Amino acid sequence: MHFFINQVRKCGCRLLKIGRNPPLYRNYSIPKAGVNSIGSVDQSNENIQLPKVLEHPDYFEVAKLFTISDLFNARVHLGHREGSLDERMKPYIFGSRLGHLIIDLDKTSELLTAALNFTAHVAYRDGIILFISQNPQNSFMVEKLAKEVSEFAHTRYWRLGMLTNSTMMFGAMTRLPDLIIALNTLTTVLDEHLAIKEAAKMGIPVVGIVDTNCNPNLITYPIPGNDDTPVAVNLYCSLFKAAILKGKQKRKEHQKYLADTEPTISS
Amino acid sequence: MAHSRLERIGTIYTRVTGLIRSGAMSLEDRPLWYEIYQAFPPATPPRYDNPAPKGEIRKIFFPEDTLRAKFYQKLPSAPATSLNEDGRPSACQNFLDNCRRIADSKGVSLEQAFDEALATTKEALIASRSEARSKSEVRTSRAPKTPKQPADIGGIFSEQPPSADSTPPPKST
Repeated sequence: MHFFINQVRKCGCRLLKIGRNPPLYRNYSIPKAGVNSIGSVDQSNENIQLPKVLEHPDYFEVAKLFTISDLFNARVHLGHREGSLDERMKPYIFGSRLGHLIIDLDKTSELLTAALNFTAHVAYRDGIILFISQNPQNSFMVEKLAKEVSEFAHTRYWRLGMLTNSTMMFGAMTRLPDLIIALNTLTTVLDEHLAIKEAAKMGIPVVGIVDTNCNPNLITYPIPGNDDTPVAVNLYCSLFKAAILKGKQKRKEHQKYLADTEPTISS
Repeated sequence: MAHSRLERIGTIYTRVTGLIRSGAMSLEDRPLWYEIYQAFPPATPPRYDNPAPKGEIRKIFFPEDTLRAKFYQKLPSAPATSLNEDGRPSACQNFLDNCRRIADSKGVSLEQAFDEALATTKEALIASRSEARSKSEVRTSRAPKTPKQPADIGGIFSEQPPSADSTPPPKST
């Protein structure tokens, strides 16, 4: 429910189209089937030349934020027992050590980089990011992270319909989050977090840590890894924080650049 | 905002693309993540019905696992490993290091170095245990506190005030 308490900066509703900061991306055309075009800045005016953020493979340099040994030291590779395995997690599993599943950190590293990159891009475009987790042991850490990056967190019981029926639930038109980051995609050892399905229904991408007993199918950017150990969750939190702050920093820089060049256009 | 809520069909990207192509969603109303997704699509499309791959999960074993098993058979009382101390090797790991050192220096196989390595590891364990015991003895053999003086409660009901060196009287109820 924390995301419902809108910040003034962000309260412009997508439907109402008010109060939204001017986007840093312009001139976009929908791709025809088979054609992949990337949104770019306005090329008609030579004065404004923002870097082509989307064309860079790693514009926010998120790949430099961590190493595989960091992941190993934070015990990201430790999964659950074989018996609780979700078969759909098989491609991300390195093997089974005496009944305990070990997650392949090479794959985790690649997927984590992609997820951090996506997160940084959403932050760059001033998207609303919602952190969810229902692990009581880690919920304070998650809420603290959300505060530090001035985004939103929900770590309590999820009432069904908070995304799909938000207007009725909150009694007002609500801007939904643009990205959901799930630090734990399960509510108990067996049940999936209700927000995952709701986000899929509402077309909201989800970045999620998936342990060996989770279903990665509906997670847009799954990150295979240990989602229970506080050390591991702490590592994820610090990485997401760094990525979001990098995105926001670049946004500030580019907006300042635009504001500085704007008068020269009108004259 | 127009949107398809059928999360079991396609992915969020294909559903939004379909809506834009058909004109149900205008281009200006496209989600904020749309171009990012297009530029950096996930490795596996997030489809509800992605099938689980077939195949067994491989077992992880190391050549020295037989030595580990033998070690715990011979020394079932090997000390527990603290997971809080990062980088501190377990007793079994110390033993394996011993094994390797002996095997390298004598040019024998790991199995042949087993007994000698076990003996040295046992000695080290006994030494560390006796050290720990002596530490705990030091703790218990601390100089005893000054013995408590027996409280003199004989005269508490007497009229005279108690003398200065005796304990103060308890509160009257």
